[in-house]
Amino acid sequence: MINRAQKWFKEKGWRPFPFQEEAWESYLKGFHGLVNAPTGSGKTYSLAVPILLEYMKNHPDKRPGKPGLQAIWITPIRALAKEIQISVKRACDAFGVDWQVAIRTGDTPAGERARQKRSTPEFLITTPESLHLLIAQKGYENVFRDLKAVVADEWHELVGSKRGVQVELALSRFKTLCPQLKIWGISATIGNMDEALHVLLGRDYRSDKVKVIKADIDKKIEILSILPDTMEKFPWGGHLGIILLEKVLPILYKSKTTLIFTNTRSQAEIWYQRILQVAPDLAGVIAMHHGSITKELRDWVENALHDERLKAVVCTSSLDLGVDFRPVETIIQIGGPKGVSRFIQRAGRSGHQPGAKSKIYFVPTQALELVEAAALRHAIEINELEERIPFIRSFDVLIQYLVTLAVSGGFDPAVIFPEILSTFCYESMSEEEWHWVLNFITTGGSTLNAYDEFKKVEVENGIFKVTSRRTALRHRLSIGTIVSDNMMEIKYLSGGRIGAIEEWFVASMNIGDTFWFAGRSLELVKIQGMTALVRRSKKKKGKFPSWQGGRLDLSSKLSAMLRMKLSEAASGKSKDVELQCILPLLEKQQEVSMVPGTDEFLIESIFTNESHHLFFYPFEGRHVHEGIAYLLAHRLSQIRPFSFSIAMNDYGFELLSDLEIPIEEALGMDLFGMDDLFYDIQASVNTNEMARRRFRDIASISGLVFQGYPGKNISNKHLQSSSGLFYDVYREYEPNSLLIKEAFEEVMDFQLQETRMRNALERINNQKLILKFPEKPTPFSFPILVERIRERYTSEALKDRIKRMTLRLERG
Amino acid sequence: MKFTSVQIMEQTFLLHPLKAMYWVEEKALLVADFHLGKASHFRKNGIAVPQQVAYSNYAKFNRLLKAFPMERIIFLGDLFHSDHNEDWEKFGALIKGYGQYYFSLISGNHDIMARREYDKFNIQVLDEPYAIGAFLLSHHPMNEVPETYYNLAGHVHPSIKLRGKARQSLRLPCFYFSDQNGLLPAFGKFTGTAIIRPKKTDQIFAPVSDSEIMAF
Repeated sequence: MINRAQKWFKEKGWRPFPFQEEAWESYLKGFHGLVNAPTGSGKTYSLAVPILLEYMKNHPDKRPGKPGLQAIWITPIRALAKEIQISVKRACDAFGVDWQVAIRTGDTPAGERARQKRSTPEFLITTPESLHLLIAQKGYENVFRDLKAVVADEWHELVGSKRGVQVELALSRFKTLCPQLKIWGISATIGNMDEALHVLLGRDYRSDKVKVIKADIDKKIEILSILPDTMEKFPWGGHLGIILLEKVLPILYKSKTTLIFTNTRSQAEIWYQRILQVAPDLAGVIAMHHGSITKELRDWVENALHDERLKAVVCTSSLDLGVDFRPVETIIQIGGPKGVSRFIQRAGRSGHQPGAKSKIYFVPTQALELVEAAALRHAIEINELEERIPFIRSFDVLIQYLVTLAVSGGFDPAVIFPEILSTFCYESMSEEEWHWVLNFITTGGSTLNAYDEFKKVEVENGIFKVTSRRTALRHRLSIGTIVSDNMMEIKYLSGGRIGAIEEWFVASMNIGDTFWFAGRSLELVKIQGMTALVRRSKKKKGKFPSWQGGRLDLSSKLSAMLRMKLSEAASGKSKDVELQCILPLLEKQQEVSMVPGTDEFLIESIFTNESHHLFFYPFEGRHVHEGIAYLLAHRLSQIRPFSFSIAMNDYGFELLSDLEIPIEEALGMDLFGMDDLFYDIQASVNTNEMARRRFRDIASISGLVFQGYPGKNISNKHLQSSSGLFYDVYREYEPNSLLIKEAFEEVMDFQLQETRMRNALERINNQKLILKFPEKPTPFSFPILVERIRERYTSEALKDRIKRMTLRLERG
Repeated sequence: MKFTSVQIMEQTFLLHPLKAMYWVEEKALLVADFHLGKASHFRKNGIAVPQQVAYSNYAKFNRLLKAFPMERIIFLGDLFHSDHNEDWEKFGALIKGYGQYYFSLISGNHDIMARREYDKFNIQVLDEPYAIGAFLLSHHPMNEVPETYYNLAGHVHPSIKLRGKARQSLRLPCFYFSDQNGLLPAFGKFTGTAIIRPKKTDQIFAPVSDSEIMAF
């Protein structure tokens, strides 16, 4: 069979890569597995080809009229579907296989969806969400009955997310429905390849029919930092990087097409607008691309990129993945990418010719990010890639999935429970927990009570099903695990959608105010329901919207490199240009405080305006800092009640109080001690906001909070509530709810990363603690001091806090 | 318990930390935005709000009814959250025990049940604004209050934001009184709040525990 494929490749003038041939062979021998290959390496054909070959082998002469759905190709991003479809169709034509190759995503129009329902395609390209929507249809079992293969493309993107859990759950169902099923993943290199395969295959991971195939395609990456001429004027804090704009422009002019990656959407808006301000001649040939702009606008930008009509695109992670834009020659990264893998991925968006070196320019936004550049370069050299931590015991996703099954016509727990247990995510679920989940969807978790009218999933003859059509409709609209804030649609008064913006931002504006969006100056004219009506404005001054998404966290790999590079820089003997450049700043830090060596831990104590600031520098990434900050706040509160404001960045964190903090006394009492660590972490997590924030997604995924959708008018006024309210009442009345526990477990696994925190504390305990009292903010402390996103910790009684009269009422 | 008292147009009002207000001269209790039955409404639609939320509201209300010498209770709108559910019957059973009092509801945007449901428990339904002396009672705050009148309303679920040294901040539900408008905090549990920005001359009172109110 493989000869057929080789022949076709030859006709095309291609040569199969060894990994492709290996994949063909393994697939045809009946293996499950994982193809480890980067984007743009011919990975689609490594699996699409053998799926077709096997079909041809099993149907040598007669081609049955309608063989049914044979293969599902799961992709995390809709934008990739089209390219996959073209490739697969091309292979079908070459082999004379008369398959319908269809796409089913959130963008698929209703007509096409209906067509697919009437006549099942043989090859379906879809997303995890759309796959679950198919499972929510009545009679879905018949659709999937003939399935032979599922391929999870870009699996590295899914494995560390709840969308990955959705894939696990769908697969657990398919394995029962189609015993012949083969499961394959395609993944870029990550730090935990084996675990990624385990997540994909669940229990089958242990069978001997499993293979990992590695494509040895090595891409060279060169990092070039844009350095300020002098450190004197370079900002110590901030996230914008605009100061280096003048140095970025020549790069744009020199290169055919450039992608400029920013870390946030509002940063993209600002950069786009400022580039046009200083280089008006670029109008018309630069564009912007981010996730809140409408699909039509994004499509336009992507097509223009393809057709070489654009000189530059300012974008966010929205262009991290997706189709290759061949004309792209140059990549610029503004601000620290915070992770090695993400950086490599972005660098890989240029230099598509085989063997070509990918060049990426790095633009630091604050002084210490220069160290990050040197750390990145080193991490790439020694190939230290991050792990993607998979979710386990995600009861919210399980609840959603079970209701999906209940909507589709019902499920029998005796069949479904073993399937769930065979997944990686729910391997450790107990029977008791399973019953809790069933109870949650049937009785709302109540201890039976005659008056209770809870109604969602009902049990008839042992089959769990949803009978209310309204409940079913609401559920179908909420399938998915990506939770966003309440979004308002932005529309021109004259018609035409531009994008979406968070409700709170619109609420902060008055009618007539101007703001920038999608690179345009817009005047807010009217608010109609969940739509903000605007018109173009000539005003050059306006607010830039911001979107509350999580800040990226410095990965543990990168933070270790960072600590190493920092001490290297301080020695003054480094070869990295970035570290040479930052030397004056370190000298200043040394002069007003100190630069800690590898065996030292620095704490700075600064008094301003009757407030006491304490700065700590573990260099462990913001999430771990948040955890340690809460832990210290909790321990300091054993001395006396305090209210702290907490800020952090990737290098350190600040505890700020209106009372003097007895830090020397606390250090004497073993502030960083390992005794009772577990207990103290638990106690501090209990009182802080981290679990509450985590609960936001959980409440939405498990169907407690119905998001609604802009443009879809579903009357549910009386069912609207916030996850915060739910969190409060659950904490008060049902603290043992598995959903609350899940929020806490997620805090421990993803936020605090307990092991990482423990390691950090152990390291600190082996270091010499040095307490400095600088008069003014130092180069290290300044960026944290000006950080506007802050957390709170208080151990004081409400009335005591108010009575100390330090709080003032905000009046209009 | 010592209550915070407020003088408006020569009348005396006592503020209760459980977020209701007693009108001394009229022997009337004013309660805004009870949102009774909200938890059950959610549950009926398959959203699992803990059941106990409803019970805690009854207990609070019961305490209030016993707190003052009372003749009438006036709900300033949004007494019931949505269409009928069992909570209404439980509430009915509760107020039947207080048959000597006179219950009225100034209809709010959430009060969509049929009139007979209110008749059933002898709750008089009134349109807004409803005048008692110089006071205009309503659910929605009135934009323009006629001279010599004072408007008392709900709907907003008002709260204030406090800021302090060392970047501290705090949000508290509150009573709000300006020249001609007064707002009551939402009584019901499991309801959100909206931050208001009072003017310098406005009086603000916020419950800081179940037994204490502070003035700002």
